[in-house]
Amino acid sequence: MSLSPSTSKMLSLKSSDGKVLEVEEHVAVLCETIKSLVEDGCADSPIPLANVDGATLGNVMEWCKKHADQKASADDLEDWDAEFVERDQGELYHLIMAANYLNIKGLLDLICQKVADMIKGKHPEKIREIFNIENDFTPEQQEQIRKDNSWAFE
Amino acid sequence: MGAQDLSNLMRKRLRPALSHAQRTGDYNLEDRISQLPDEILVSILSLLTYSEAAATSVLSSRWRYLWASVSRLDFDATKKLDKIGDMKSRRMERRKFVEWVHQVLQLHTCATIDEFKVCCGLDKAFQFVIDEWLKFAREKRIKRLELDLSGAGRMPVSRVLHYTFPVRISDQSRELSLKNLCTFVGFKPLKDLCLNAVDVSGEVLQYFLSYCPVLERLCVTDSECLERIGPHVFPELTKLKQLTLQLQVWRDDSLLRVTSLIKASPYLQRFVLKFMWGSPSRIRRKVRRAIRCPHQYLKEVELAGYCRRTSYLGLAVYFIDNAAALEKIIIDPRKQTYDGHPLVTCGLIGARGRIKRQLKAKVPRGVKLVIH
Repeated sequence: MSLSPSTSKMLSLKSSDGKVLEVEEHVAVLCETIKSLVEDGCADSPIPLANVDGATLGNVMEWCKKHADQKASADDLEDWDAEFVERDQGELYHLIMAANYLNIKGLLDLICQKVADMIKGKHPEKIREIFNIENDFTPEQQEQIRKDNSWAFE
Repeated sequence: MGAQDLSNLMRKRLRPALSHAQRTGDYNLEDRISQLPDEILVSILSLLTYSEAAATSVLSSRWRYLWASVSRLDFDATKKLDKIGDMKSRRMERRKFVEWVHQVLQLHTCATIDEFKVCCGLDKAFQFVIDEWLKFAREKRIKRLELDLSGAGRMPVSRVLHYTFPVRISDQSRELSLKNLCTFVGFKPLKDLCLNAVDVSGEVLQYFLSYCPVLERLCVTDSECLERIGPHVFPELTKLKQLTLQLQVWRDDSLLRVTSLIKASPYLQRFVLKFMWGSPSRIRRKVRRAIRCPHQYLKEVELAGYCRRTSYLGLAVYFIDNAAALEKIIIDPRKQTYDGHPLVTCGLIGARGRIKRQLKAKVPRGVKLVIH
């Protein structure tokens, strides 16, 4: 069965906070989790997505819609993706969890790369500051870890 | 400027203001990143260099051991060692690096790893340590293995001091060394093997490869032993798609001996051969036609360090005759060096012209001839 835009039917997705979103099937099947439901013929009623809230689901489907668009060029998608991940950490967190739950490799890779870029080339103090990570080590423990991996810390 | 460009430009201008707003907002956020599941954090750490990933161990107890689950172990010391001015400190740092790698491998928690790569100038004084690393890699069912021990940059390793992969077969204690070799073979899931500045003989390679059933890419460069490759009969490498070799040419007798390895690779798609600076003696003779051995899948052949001698031509002709699907043949007449930067000599332009005239008539229609 081909899932071209013209023949695509609509699927309804229900978020954890009860919002229902109507999405074209060829867009929604970018989520492997939904794709397997569709293939098993279990996608008739609104599909309940217990781990994704309405706002995040909207963002995820926006990404899927762009990436399901066959007219979009690779360069175009790259620019669009770069813009898409310009979000606060709360949103990024929900997106990464949703991408993981819905099994969307492209989106998961994209956000993991974004987070990795936020860590890259920075000192541990700076990383803690960026992500509000609380240092729960004693100064002695910290010294020991640094000593064990002194090669990595210079 | 089109409308598209203008809107891109405006977007870019707006971006700093937006991130600033986000930055100020971040102060009120909780620590979201540490709440991510282990597997996601590990995949984020896999996108960093191994040193960067290791440095996250100090962030908090949540992060303490996460990096030890990263399955891509990429240890590259060259950048850091190159920054150190004097030789003594460089040696001390190198020692620290080796100890660190060793310790990391012992801490490593995954049952399998995808990649193990070491890039550092290490000579045979480290034979025992590197042997242990290889055993670790085999136990972890590694897929990609790269040893670049050239120490390119400030710590070049002399060729006579190269580490021997994985054991030296000596004539005196042949039986013992072969027995020792047995403890290294069996890299069954290995797909990618790349050795630079590592001594590996044709005999060892032949033995080692017979236990690598899914190897797809093999690259051996700057290996003095392999440069004297003999007429070994290699095991059939049915998955091998890419092969890169570097050979020293001393006698103009027969470069065709390298064909023993390519003959063993019926599905090869790309073959690169780098001839090293030597001055082969010239023998005037007719181009010897190789025994027919079709390479049905070979699409691209690159011969670097090529000169207009009978044996080189013989090899080019071998591929032209035997590779029915050949799409491209790349000839690079520049002198090849071990640091990977070919030399541009004054006679190059003339040499290119002569090679072109020599080969043009032999290259069939549909095959692209590229001369660097």
